Amino acid sequence: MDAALLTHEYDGDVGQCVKSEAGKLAQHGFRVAVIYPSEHEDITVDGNITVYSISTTVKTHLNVVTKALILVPEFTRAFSSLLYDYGFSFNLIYSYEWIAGVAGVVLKTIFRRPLIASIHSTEYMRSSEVGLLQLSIRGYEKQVFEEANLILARSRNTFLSIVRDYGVEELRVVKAFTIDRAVEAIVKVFKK
Amino acid sequence: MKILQFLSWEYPPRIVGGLARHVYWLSRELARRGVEVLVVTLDYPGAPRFEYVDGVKIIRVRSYVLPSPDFISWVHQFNMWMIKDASDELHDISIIHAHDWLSALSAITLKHTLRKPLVATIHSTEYGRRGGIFNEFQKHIHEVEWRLTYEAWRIIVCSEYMRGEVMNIFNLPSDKIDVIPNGINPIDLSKPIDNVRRRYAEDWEKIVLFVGRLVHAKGIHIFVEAGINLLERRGDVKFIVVGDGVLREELMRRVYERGVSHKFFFTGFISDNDLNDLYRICDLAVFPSIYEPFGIVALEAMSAAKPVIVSDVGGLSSLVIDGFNGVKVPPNNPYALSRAIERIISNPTFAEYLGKNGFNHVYQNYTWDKIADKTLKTYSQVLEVYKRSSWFKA
Repeated sequence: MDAALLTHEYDGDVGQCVKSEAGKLAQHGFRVAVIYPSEHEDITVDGNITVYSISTTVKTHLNVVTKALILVPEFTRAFSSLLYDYGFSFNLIYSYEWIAGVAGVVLKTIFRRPLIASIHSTEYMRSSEVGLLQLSIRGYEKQVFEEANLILARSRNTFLSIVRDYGVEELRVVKAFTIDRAVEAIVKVFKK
Repeated sequence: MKILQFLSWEYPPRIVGGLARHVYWLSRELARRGVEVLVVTLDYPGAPRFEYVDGVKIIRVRSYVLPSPDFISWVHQFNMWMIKDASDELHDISIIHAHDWLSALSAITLKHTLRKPLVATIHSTEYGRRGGIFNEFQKHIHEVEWRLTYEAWRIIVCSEYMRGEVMNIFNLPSDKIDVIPNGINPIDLSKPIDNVRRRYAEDWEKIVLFVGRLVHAKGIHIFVEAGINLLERRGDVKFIVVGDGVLREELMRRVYERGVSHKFFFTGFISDNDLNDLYRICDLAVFPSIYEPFGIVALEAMSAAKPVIVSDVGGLSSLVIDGFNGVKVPPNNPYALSRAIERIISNPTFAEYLGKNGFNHVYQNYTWDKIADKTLKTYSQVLEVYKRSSWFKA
């Protein structure tokens, strides 16, 4: 079982979560590939975990939306390279937050693989503004929620926001407030 | 061979500039040669989501799905829908052909995910359009353009001038670039136009025509100044300006203030049929651009056997042999342009000579069947290389 973990950061809070979950998924027998944007391109392999740092030549961004969208070809390029050149088969696309989720949606469309979206916070939680930028981000978040086969809410507030603010059915959202609970949910999907 | 001609927003009936016509005619000619062509473009009110046009399959994708904070975000977003909405059709394509940066993200994504070669036509560059890169917005587009040219297996440009421009701006090797000119749609010269001329000018007035967007790069302000200058010497000239743009009001005010507004006719956007009529009734067509990657409007005027004056820049410069099939003037010089206009309208024999040579030049070099042949040659080259690459096995 191969899982592609797409994340916009490999440091910071989300990054630490990605590292822990990659390790735990590897312990469950998954072959894990983590893809994240960095300043330079690199691939490192440590046992069952492959880490692919991608860089983009487009460095100038007007806002976080253009940044997220410009990362789509980079995530998909790395995913394809791992698939075609490194022998991954990828049974699962697992994206963290909406930025990587956008790439996850595109990959799901092209490769017809299930998408699991891990959401730590929503734009409704981060900002009370109602500008075009916030509306746009919320639109992308909603798109990711609609496309994902499973949504992992990483806190109680996130769960409430996904259900209340985005109108997502409760049944589609797993309360994965801990790393173990998130990994358990993913493994359960595969056992099914 | 199945070609995917990714577009930006342009394919008829959605026409913003010359790109829509380019893709329409090229894809049609390719289809006539037995190539399976798929065009993915943006939706348009009243146009069907799927249709076959002249043997070309058209898919129109959703263009306004999510709010976008700016134009660039919107462009990148519709690239996402180009992939999502057309995904069922994409798996057996042979080549991806992208046009300009507007379809760069979807083209690069599909290149890698489908492992198919990418060909990119660069119709113009942000650097060229703006005369440099001055802000973050332009820099982003410039970087996306660079990335597209980097990812493409081959680049197509429309003129030798553009080859130089993309080589210099994007540091591309010359041998990665093919020069394939734009083509023109033949004007029906047999259609009666008896009463058309009197809609625009008196019988004794010479008609001098400008066609293009009313923006600085097209040199419309030079055209107007040259006209004002010429009208100081003779009054038997009518200047017709076809097109619209940000300079329209300013220029209309300018001719009004100079007391010659009755000598200028700003038509705004007009239909292709009306434009063709204007090409046929005019005495001279003038294209005083400051930046012009190709200059298809000059070819259109030549195809109506009309003399043309072009500024000695960009693609225009390579279309015209000075004194043979047109006249070149230095750019940004209304006085030189005014003298050149006077020279041609005062000498009907010379005007006829230029028009005849221009007509022959166009039909020998710039028809869509010739352009489709050259494009197919580029595709064949790319496929040959592709078949020797590791991607072919994938």
